[in-house]
Amino acid sequence: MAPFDPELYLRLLGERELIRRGSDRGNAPNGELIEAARALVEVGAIERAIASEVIDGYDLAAGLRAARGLWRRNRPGALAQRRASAAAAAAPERRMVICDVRLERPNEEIRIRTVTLSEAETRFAVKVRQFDPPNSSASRVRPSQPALNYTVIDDRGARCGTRFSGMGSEREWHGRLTTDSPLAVDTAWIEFDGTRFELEDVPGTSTITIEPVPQGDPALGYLWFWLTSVQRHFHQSGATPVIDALVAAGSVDAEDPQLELIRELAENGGAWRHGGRQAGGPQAGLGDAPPEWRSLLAPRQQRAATGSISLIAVTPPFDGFTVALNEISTDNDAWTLEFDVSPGIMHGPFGHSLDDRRLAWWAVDDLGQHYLGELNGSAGGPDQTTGTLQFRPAIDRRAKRLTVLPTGRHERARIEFPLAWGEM
Amino acid sequence: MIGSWWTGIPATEATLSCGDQTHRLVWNAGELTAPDHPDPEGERALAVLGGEPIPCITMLDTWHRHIDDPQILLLSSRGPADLIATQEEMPQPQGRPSRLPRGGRAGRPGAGSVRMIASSVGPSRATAPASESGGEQDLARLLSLGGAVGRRLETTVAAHWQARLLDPDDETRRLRARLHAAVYGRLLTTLSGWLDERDLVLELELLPPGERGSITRDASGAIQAALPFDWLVAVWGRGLETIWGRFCLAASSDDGREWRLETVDPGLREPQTVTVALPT
Repeated sequence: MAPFDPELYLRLLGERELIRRGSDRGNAPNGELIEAARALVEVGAIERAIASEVIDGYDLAAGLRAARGLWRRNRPGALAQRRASAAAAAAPERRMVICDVRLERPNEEIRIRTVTLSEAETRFAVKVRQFDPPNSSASRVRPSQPALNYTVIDDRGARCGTRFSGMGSEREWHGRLTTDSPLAVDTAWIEFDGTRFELEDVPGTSTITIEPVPQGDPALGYLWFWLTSVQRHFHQSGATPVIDALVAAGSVDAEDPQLELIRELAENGGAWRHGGRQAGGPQAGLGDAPPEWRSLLAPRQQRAATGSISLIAVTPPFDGFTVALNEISTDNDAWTLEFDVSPGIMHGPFGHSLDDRRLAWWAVDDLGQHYLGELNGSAGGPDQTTGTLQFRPAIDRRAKRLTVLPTGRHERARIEFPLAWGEM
Repeated sequence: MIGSWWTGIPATEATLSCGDQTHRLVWNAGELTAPDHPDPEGERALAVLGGEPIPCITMLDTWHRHIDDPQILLLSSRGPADLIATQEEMPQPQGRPSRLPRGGRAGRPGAGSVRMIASSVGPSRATAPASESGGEQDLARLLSLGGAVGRRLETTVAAHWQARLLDPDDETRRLRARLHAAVYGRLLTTLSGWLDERDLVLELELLPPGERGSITRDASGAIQAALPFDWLVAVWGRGLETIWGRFCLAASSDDGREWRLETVDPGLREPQTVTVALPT
């Protein structure tokens, strides 16, 4: 039997993917090829430069077949993204302030939880409740998303508007207001839509440490890590090229029982996130799974906490990332966490390049329950991603402390803080 | 045996918009020419001075830059079902359309030629990827020209590497996976269409030059093929991959007019020789 040739393996995969998509003249990336290449690079089966060369070649081949493929491949944004992906972006200096300001208006109530100031932008974590004006018609059509364009001013007199990103229902929204241009990072106060409030820097209540990720079997470790990046609307072929590549490389035994569980978790489209084994959970045994997965997939019965917590937590660099957390809110059978990460991360089932960065968002409470977060709305680019993570299961109201563990391949941050729930 | 790799490959031509005219690019006997441009060197110099590219000359230059570039084997079409986006779909070149010399179509045959010497050895452009967007766009236009010009270019490249494989050096060994994949992709496309099996599973062993090929099906239904890289030039390059409902493993000729084709039927039984000949 011929020895495994990783470059040939990837090139033949690239050929099959290119041909299979023959009549599809869209511009989908060579997802299976990229995922297989990432896996082989991770276990040291192929040099990154060779894998990148293969991917780039098939990316160009796909571009030649798509009506606008070359244009998309070479558009300024794509070029910038490729360049930025090649070099880690420096995390911007931030000032985070908890303010908890409530602004009441005739037709809305705005609650500002935190302000984050950097040289690039100023952002407010907000919750907005909107009311019908007293004399409005009940049949008035409401906008699908509020404009939420307010005027803000800093202590230097700089003035700008805001734009909203976030989520909500017809009358209640929570998310971020980002200024059109940055306010002074060290401003002593902010005037928000005519209301001035002071910015008082107080130390956060979280404890942050950086630690190495426990290293076990490289291939299985990568597969479990890869699984955390699987999105909800995920199709089954995603796991196959990754597992097949590692088996072909001899990095994992095709009969390893963990593979069955990983494949099953990948193939059920992430339904296991919504209730462990009871709702679309894995049928394979959990005994061989890592402890955090066993906890996640067999959650305790508990009564969920309700409320929200404002945080000031900015990590030092770990695994090339810097993470900032600024609010936790409970959300029925889940909880959400507002975050920023530099450089930007990619969280789809298929990456667009070998250099796309990923984080696994684990958390664990003081009762031993593990949680896994997934992106639930995000924005940004190669330098930064900002958004909301949704974690499951719900947090047990008996839990007193929580540790959020943004986890790279080699290092992770431990961000530990008390669960002092406040009003939503 | 025949002496030139292009023997038996018919001449072909493609048309393209060049300024406000439609011009021809002609491939014949390993050579691409722009017969509507009688003085390509002079026009090239004018284009540099005037900053206005001349599409026909750009295509000739692009061809010349890539005649030994193995990346062409990755980028070009795997067959009729694998379409490169057309010129109209491609991003338009920067700059204004060029104005052409009056009477440009009256050029003499052979003018503006680029000679291909497929077995040439020397400094190779093989490792220079078409990475700049302008270069990519020019290459895309060349590969999508129609008239089988794209296949002529890939056959030219394949012939170059076929010759290099006879006495492999470090670069040839480094590129072995690319060359293997080039045969694999075209073979997979050919067999999927010929056997009408969309999800065909193919294993390919790349044989040393000149070795006799074979093709079988294993118990799982997968196709096990063994072919030398020569197949790309001798069979694929001549458009002989399937003939008379049969798959062609190898093609040979003594005079370039009568060809002996070693073929198998869809049952992949023992190969049989089919002889085809052009009338004298």
